Amino acid sequence: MALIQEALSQERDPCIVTVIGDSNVGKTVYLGMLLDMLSKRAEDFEAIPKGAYSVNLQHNVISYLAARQFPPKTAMEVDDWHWAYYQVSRHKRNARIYDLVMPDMAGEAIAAEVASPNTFAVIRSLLEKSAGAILLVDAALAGAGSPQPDFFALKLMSYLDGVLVSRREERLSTPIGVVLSKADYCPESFDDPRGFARTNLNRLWNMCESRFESFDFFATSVVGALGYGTDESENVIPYPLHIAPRGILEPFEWVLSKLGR
Amino acid sequence: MMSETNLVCDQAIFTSIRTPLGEGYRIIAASRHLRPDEKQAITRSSPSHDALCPPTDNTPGTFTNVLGAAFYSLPRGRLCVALSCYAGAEHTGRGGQRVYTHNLVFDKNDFPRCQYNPFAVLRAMVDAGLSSPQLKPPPVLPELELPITKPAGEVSPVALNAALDPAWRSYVLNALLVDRSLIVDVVDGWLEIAEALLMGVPGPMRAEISFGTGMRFSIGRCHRLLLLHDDPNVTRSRIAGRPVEYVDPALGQEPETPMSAWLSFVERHWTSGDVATLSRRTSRAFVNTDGTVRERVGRIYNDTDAIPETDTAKLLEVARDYLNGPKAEWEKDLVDELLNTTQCALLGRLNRMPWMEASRHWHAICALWRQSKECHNFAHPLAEQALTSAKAEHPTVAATAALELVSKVSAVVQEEHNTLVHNVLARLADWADRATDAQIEGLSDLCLRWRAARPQCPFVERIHQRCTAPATR
Repeated sequence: MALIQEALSQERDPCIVTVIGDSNVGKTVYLGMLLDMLSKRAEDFEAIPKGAYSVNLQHNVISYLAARQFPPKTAMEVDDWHWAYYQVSRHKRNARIYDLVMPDMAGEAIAAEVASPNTFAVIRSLLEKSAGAILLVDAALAGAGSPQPDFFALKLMSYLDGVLVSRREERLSTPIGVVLSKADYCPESFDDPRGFARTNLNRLWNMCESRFESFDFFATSVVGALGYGTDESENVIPYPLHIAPRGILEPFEWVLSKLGR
Repeated sequence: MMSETNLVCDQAIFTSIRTPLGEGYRIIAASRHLRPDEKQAITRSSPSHDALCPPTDNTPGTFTNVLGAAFYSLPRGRLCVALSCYAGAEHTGRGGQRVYTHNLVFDKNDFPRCQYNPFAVLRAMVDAGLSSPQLKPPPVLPELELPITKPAGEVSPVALNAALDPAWRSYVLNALLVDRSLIVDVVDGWLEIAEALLMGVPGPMRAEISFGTGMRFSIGRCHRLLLLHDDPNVTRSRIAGRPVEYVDPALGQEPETPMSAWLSFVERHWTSGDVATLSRRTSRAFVNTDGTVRERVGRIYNDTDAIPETDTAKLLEVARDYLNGPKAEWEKDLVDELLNTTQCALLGRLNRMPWMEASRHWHAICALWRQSKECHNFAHPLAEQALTSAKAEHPTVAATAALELVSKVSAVVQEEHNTLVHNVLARLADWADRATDAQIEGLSDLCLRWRAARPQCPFVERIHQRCTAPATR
């Protein structure tokens, strides 16, 4: 409700940039880190939060990382999602201002919607209205040979194709930035993200080439060093010992450059 | 008493595990016949990470290890009963507990066989071991035949009062009956309190009243009734702008609810902790559950339960009102039960009453006797018992009383109560045969009145002959 009121007060339609991806791929950490970097005017960006609620996500993420923990899982309940509404522009005179709404959605909710459309109508509605999307794919799993990231991304892109394109002969013009998350596990992806994707996420690569006009691949990483422990159920718990964001801004910058064309 | 019945159900398990095909919260196993739209609804409604309220009082009982429960309708009308618990730590190591929900789906037409009580299904689920998480189930679950054996559970009046005092629980029940949605802050005992509240709703209405217990509010599962204990500010902010009311009985003024026959009927059972009887009475297959019918049913039950404390004159009035009043088909057995209970109570009292006391009610009994066939049938044993008391007093007293009974009745009715009258007159005749002349004095007038009422009666003739015989004793 607060978000709607803020958007109305701006007298400008906000642009929705959705960050999507499977569960545990790093959406919350990526988005929180991105917003925090924008708030600190990284790369000459200026980002002003519209409403205190918009700061909750980055506050949450940075606080947990500072305590050497990853933030908790995002619940499937829509009420629990963080919604960030920022006014973003380059820090120079007459720079274009983008009113960006970026919800942090639960990966399981996205997966449920992709598997069975209209399970979460809010996701479909957000994607239909999205001016751009950032798709996170787990590069660590993909680099280790798991086909799951590729299959999930393929399903997601196919879903987007169905939602956003009205005619089969048309290609989707919405810019999609494919972000290879956790790239610190496979640093070669930083050198050639497109090559990495063509090799390890071939199905996704082919789908993008066939059905999407505007896409690119980026590698990103937040953690500089990881430690490991176990909990009472013998689950392995990763601990971020050192934060070294890399490649966070580039996908966002690229999507922003494509907006409004 | 609910006889054992087997409920045929489809199943679905919703939790978060890592498998070769994926990870995270989803339906990990389901029955073959669960429809896609039903799976969607279950996915939206089931609690995920951090959605259960922290457990408080882990009182061992029927619902041990069950932290949350829910009941709601699915698309196309089937009903879902779900129980939720924790199943170890969240497997991706991001803190918190893994939430596990076992869902059972059944046909709405089978709901009456459970006495319209989703908690009977929950108890059966616990008995069947479904509250123990299965984290490696087969992907396709079999259809389940669940034996439903236990009727409504017991709720201690102390526990109920501690959670919701009479003013608040009437308020909550009234809200449910008029289609409002509520979140009620209850510290613990969610399941027991929810069952007590739900049993205050007529059975056929319960399929439309979704509820959740022990889980945080979410717009994806906006139940009609949600019992939880959570940060009130968080809950209030989530329901802002929505047609859901937040109730915290520990704070704020006690509400005023217009009292009604139905609410007072339910409250009496809550006060005594007799949820089992409440469940039996409210879980009938009422054809109509609107406000007027509920009031009528409430009044019938209130009058039935008040019989032991109602004085005899008032009881006769109550019986007259119900015997003479209009009776819909759906209420016939309720009214019959009331009338049977009233009749038994009156008979018991008349049996213990000397005639001096019983005579105060004789006129009312005779009036009832004359009103209709149904009234006559009701009054017949009462008259018989009263006349027994009169006969014990003196045969002439009984005969005098019986005269009021036979006046102004039709020949058909006369025929039906001949035995009753003949017994009285036979007794009088026997007495007259043995009585002295002095004792017979004054009988002539009574005899004349009986000759006018029953000229053909051989007992009357015999009495007349004794009265007119020359003095000898």
